[in-house]
Amino acid sequence: MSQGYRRNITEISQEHRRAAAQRCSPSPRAVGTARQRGPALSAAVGALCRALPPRARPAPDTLRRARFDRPQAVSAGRSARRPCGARGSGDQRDPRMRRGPGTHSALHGSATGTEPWSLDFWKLLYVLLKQIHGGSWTESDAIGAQVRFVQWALWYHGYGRPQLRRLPADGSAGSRELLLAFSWLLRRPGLLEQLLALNRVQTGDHTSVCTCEDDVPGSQEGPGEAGPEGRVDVRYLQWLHGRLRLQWCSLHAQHQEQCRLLHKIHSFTSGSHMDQNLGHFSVTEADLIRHPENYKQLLQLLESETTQLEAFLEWKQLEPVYWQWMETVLDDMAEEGNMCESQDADVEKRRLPEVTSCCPWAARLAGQMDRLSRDLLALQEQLHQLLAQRKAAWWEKVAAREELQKERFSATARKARESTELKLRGLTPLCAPQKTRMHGLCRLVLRNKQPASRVASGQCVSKEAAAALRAAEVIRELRLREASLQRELQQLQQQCRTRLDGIAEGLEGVICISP
Amino acid sequence: MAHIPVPVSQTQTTGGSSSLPCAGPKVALARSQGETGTEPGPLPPPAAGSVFSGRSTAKAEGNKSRLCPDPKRGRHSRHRDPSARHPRRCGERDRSRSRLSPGAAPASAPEPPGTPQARGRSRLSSGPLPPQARGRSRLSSGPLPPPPRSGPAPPAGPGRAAGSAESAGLAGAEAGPMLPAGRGRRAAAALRAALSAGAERRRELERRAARSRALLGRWDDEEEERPQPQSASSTEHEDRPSPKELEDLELLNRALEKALKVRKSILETPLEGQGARGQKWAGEAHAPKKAQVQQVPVPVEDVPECRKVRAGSQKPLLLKKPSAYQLRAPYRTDPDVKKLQRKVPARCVSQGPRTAGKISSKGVTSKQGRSHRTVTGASAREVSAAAQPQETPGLSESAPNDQQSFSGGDSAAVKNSTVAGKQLLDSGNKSCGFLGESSKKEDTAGAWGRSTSPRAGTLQEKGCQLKLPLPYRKAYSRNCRAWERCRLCQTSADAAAARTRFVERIQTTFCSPKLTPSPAEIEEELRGLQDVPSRVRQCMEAEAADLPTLQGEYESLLTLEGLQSTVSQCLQKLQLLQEALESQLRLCPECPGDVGSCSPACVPARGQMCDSADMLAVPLLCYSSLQELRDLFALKLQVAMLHQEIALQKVMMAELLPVLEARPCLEGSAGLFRAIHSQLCQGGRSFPVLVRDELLD
Repeated sequence: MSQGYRRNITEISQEHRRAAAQRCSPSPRAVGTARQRGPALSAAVGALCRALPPRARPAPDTLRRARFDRPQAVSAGRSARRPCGARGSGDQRDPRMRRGPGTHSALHGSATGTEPWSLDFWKLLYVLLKQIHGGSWTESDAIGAQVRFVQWALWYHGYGRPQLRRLPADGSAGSRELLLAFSWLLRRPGLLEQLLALNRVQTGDHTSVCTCEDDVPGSQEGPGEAGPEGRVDVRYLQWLHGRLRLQWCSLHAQHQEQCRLLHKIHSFTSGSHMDQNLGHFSVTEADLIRHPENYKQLLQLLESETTQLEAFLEWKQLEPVYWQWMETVLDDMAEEGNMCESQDADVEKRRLPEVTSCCPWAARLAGQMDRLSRDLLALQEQLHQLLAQRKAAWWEKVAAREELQKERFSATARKARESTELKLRGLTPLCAPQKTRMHGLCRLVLRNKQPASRVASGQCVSKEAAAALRAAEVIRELRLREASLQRELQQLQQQCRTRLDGIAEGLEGVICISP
Repeated sequence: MAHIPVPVSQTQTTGGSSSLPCAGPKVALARSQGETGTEPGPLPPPAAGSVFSGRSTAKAEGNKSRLCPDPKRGRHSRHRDPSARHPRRCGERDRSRSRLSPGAAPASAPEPPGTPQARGRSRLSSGPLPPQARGRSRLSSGPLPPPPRSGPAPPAGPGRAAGSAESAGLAGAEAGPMLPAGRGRRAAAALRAALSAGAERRRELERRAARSRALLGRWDDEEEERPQPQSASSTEHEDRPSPKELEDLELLNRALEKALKVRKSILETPLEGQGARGQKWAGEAHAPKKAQVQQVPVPVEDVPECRKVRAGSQKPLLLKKPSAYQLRAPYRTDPDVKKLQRKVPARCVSQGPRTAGKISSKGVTSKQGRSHRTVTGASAREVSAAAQPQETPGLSESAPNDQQSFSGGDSAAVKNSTVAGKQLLDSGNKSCGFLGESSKKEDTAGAWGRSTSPRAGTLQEKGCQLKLPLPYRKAYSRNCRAWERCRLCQTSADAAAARTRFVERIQTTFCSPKLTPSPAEIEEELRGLQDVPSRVRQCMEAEAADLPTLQGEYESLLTLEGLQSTVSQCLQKLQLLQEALESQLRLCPECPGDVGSCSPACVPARGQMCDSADMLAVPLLCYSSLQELRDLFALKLQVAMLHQEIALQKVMMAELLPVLEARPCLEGSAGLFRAIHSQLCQGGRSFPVLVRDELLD
């Protein structure tokens, strides 16, 4: 095993050398003449496409022909005629088009004629962004909804090009704008990396470590809960609520059992895994040993992921060509002029008043901000009072002992200052910006003997130590989160109490005694 | 009623607490006995809350006699409302008396306010307690303790209680407290959505647990046991008593059996008449046998019993008998069964604990697999008597043997299985090529084929020698290497330069203000600030204590000052974020319809401009002990629960508050008021008291 491991490492380093050599080679070529960029560009775009998740993988042509930005008709009849005319106009407008040797043939070969190209691109972005945003989607979602979602998501990630905003909602145009947006996404949120991480094939026992809010499932009214006259008995609500609490109890019990089982499986198989970082099997892997025939699909998934990763590596080497190409696309756009400028202002003016009518996402965020600021203000007030109290007491004490302490105290004070600084460090993200919040799924790994393993396989552990989270840390975070949420809930309940007390006061002859 | 803050002279009749129909969900299991003929609605939560211990359910059973039948039961059964199954307490009189004599077990008094929420304050009528608290408090204290009320005995007599009829009328005892259709439905729908999401989670967990359990059991006999837990959990249906609820009943049954056993074992009659028993009561023997299988591990590990039930997967058996509603025979004076009971306890008491003592945790694990199988066998036998050839003979011959093979054999099973496992392994090894290094050249299809016999033994015995199949190992290490290479892959300098040029150029054309963070960044930064109040509060509380030394005091002063500046920094930051959000919202395009999915999915290290290295690293979460793992999951669940509770609270506030605010007077809505108050302010755990205060004309 260890031999294999060493061999792998040497392989890796060889490949790195090779990769470095290749990395150096294309750049002068690319800088040289654009004519030579053709094949390199196709290779880059091809690698990029293969590095995208299989379900959303576009044909390389979708990307390459997007730069010509032909307005496409949605109806089949018109678009069937369109390619010739479009090509003509494209040639006139963009002489560079003929430069790439591969471009022409690709264009002619794969233009379907029935589907506008921009539509493909909207769909591509829709699918990619939906994956990032964790929503469910189908190929057949209405194009209008797709366009709206893509625009919203791009806004969310900070893409603020007004030209994109003006694209028609039927998806019939704008492939070049979309190409720009896509390229920007590659850089800013790290689209490729995120998708790779998000779709990582899971072979371990995973659990999420973030404390982000789960989506509250959309509720639907069901039949059978309304009583006579269509009203709902409040006791039904109480019953449901009780059931819900019971459900949480049983979920808790189930989780605890699951923990016990997991721990057993992990500790029974410790030392069996070929991966030294893991050490033991996961449930999936143990089951795989027992029923290997059930896991053919997993194997395929692993293999396809590996090829995707290899494509990603390839893309990383060919990347420069792509970005240079994108710059030429930007040049084209600039050439086409600034005629849109005046319209931009109009758009902005039109949008100004409708701040409030924004989406629930914004409403939720604003609500969180309000609550946080209320929380912080209350805390500030509390701290202020406490400090005033303490200071008064302090001055009294110091005045009493003034003479004897003065000399020695400056040293003590320094010490105190240092220890406080230490205490306060890491209290807030402001003080510790490098500490990132945890998100996503993690593979659970049992490490009984922490120090021993560290000594044993020194460089191996330290190499990945950055990625490994400790359960204790997560638990600490969760405790804090729990406390915050608990407070929020109590605040809400308090709010209700005051409102209900107000109602009770308005009732004649009845006294309400809260429990 | 000394605590009612109304001068007695002013009050003509204080009605005591209005006895709401919804006030105290009482023990439903008790009722279900008499109710077997009626529609099998689900059990109400608080009673079923005794999942945590079978004993508390037994205790609850004891309360039955204190309850009076609900005259309105059945009318609302379609709605499955709590009161339909929670008979109203009869006798206000009783209640006020119980308050007069705090030493006595209050007959119809509310639950002991043992929860922190209800602590000391829920005097008159605290409603149902949360399940855990209920179960526990009942368990620990035999008869219900009196409410911890220290005030003087209330000057309430029978005369006072007379007003109760009136207040009951006021509470709308005739018609249930109804909500307007639209609001009520929306509120109910929110709750049901939460329920079904939870049910989904439970099923998923159940699936996973079944898989893990199967792995921990013996590896050579899984064929028949695998599908069952899934089918059991998937058939769960809202409108029927769920298997869970049936399990609760099962627990009750078992607890009662146990009680009976204890009683019988005192008599300790000699065993007799085993031979002639035979097939006839073979079926009956399952119950005690199971009870033993279930109960033995409890002293070994402190696990709630309910978990054991699932571990043993009673469900198949339970599902075959929807009539499991009924308490089983032992509690009826059935002479035949009595004889059985006399015998079974003798075995269980003498044998069970001893085996339990011997079996270490090792034995317990293997037992899980075994009990699984035996239950399967048992249920199969119910369908056809001779389903399992190797076990049926033992049954038909004599019960003691049967018992032996089930429970006594358990401790030996570990050793036996090793022997058997070895044999199987030896024979299997020849065809078991996929693990051997010799088969490297084999094509994958052959290697993955079913020709490989399953390995015998348990994971515990084999765990350390197991190896992953070769194709998987190959694929895994290739995959691993690829990830590692991607993680270490650096963006070349010219690529980075070209990329930055492009990004900067395109950003100059943006209409959004240049330095404003994107909505994604705003969200992420806000998330970072979210727990600051909790942290600061924690620190502040630590500083609250008086310090003896001057240096300590100085330090604490400094800390507090530091905290103050932290808080104001955060406030500033928040202010900036608020402004940024506002300016971003000006540019917000039309929102897509479904915004449940607006925020991005949680990718490790999302929302920031980080290297690909961070994002592509293998995310590992290391834990060092079982306890840590348990804490982790418990807290995760707690956080998820709080998220849900807050979301529900918001919905309820939006839907329920306007209902009350719209009504000018209380006439007929006192019940509604109490219910809504309880729901919104107490999380449904306790109720307020409404007292009618009638002035003299």
